[in-house]
Amino acid sequence: MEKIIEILSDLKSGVDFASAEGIVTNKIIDSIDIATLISAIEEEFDVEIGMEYMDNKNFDSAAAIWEMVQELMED
Amino acid sequence: MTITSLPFIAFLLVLFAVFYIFPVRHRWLVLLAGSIYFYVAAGAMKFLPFIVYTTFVVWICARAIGKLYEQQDVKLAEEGLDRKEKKQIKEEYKKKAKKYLLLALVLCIGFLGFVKFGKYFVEYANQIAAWSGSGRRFSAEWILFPLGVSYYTFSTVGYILDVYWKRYDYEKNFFRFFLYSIYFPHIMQGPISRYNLLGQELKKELRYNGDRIVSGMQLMLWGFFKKLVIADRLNLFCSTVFDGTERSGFVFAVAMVFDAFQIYTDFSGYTDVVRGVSQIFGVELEKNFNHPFFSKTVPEYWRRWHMTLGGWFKDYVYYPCTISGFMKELNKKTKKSMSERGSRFITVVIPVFLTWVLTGLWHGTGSTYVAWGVYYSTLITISVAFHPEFEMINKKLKINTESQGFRIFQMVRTFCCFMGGRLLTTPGSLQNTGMVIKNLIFNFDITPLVNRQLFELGMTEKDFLLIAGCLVVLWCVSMMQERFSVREKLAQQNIVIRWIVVYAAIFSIIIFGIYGPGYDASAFIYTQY
Repeated sequence: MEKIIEILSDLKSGVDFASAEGIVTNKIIDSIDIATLISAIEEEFDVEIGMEYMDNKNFDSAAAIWEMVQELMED
Repeated sequence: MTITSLPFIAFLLVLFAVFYIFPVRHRWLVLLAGSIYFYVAAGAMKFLPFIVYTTFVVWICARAIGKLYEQQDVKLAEEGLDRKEKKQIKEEYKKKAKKYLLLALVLCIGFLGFVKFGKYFVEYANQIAAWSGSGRRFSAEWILFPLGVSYYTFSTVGYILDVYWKRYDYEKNFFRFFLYSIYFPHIMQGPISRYNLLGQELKKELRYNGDRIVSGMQLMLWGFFKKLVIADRLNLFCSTVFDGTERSGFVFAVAMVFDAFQIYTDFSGYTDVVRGVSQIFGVELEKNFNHPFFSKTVPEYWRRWHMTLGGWFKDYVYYPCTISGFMKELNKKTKKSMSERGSRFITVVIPVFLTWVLTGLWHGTGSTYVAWGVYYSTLITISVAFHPEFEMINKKLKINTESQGFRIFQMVRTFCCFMGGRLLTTPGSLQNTGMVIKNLIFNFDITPLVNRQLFELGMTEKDFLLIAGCLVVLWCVSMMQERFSVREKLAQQNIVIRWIVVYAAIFSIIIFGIYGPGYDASAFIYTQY
């Protein structure tokens, strides 16, 4: 989870990603940020994010992203 | 039958009566019959087989994919499977499902590409024939452009991709799916719907709700006002000015500003009318506009303008391209050979350019639309890639980016960028665009304003004053809509105020609206796409 927050903070400074909710829905990060985020997550956790996971709810908070990553690692 | 015609209002009244007479569980069938009638009455009888074709191909292929996933789930539920075996099963079924997906995409996107680009292939064939000395000429007249084809193809293709990516289950009833595809409020100009939203809306119990019907009618009135009073009046001026290329740059500048408001009020007016119509039947359509002229950047602008198209390209073109194997490989290579920033630049540029060139081609097939796509890709890439430099400049110049003045500057800048994009397509060809730019730079002469020739180009002085007043109303309503729901607020007012507002809207449309027999301006710009 800390790593996810670190990646997000690198992407956008000045946001408390540990508590921020609705980061996609509220346009805190945009589609170009998501593309960069995916690349960083795949590299860090050695997982592959498929189109099945490209849903706003999977990227809307650090916790949601972490949950998705855990699911991918179990797969 | 267009949505601004009296036959459409008559059609709505009849459909409304029949719809609410029918039992709740059969009301969707009334909507299906009404939608088929509307499509045929809009002069699209000959196109009906095409929409049936696309809808059926997508439905049957999505059904096959869904059934494969059901079989996969049964297999995965078997006991004693380890992770490797489960992965193998998933891959095996995914491979089979992909065949059906590709079949649907080839048959439907291929068809869309054919009706959009077919005439160019015929032109090339004729050029080759002429070059080779053969006297043979091919005709492109037989290539029809079915009404609403870009909209229903995208709505249905989005559905099959979602089923393939397991975002939701497939639709078992073809007629339910056909209603989603041909649903009359969205068939002509969108919004480009998503099955998990509109499909579910059409499945719910469509019960009578007086408040919702009144709210829907108010939205329709607002849409008619935007279209008939503003857009069609501005069209008189813009079509006259852009009919030629030898005018004062000042006249072109006025026409460019008016053209931006014309296309906005035309398209968003249409969307308001159809969303209002749909609300009368208890079905919520997606929002397509969110006051785009308040945007501070170009990317934000495209999140507020034609939102369903932008969302479609983001979900079904941009993201698949971004996370494709090719892009991942490229990302790895560029990270090794370039700086982090350079690598990020490359991985941003390719999906953005692909998405925007395709968005341009969706709007039109000529070189002007390719240029339009390249123009927006370049703007978006610049805004992303040089973001640190822009921040640094703001810091050095000590610009308060949070101030109201800076926000207004950003909005004006974004509006100018939008006019730049329109300038590529509105004059009709890149050559004409060049001529307009030449006049804007070297012939910016305000004489037409001084000698009042400006008021002889389709709009009189009174029309200019009326437009100024309407734009103030548009701005005020948009400002209110940014903060709260105007219709909800209106519903809270007493009956006298409510009726004053409604009557004012009705009479302003009747008195100031541009309509009537033989008047063609009420054709909507986005229907051609």
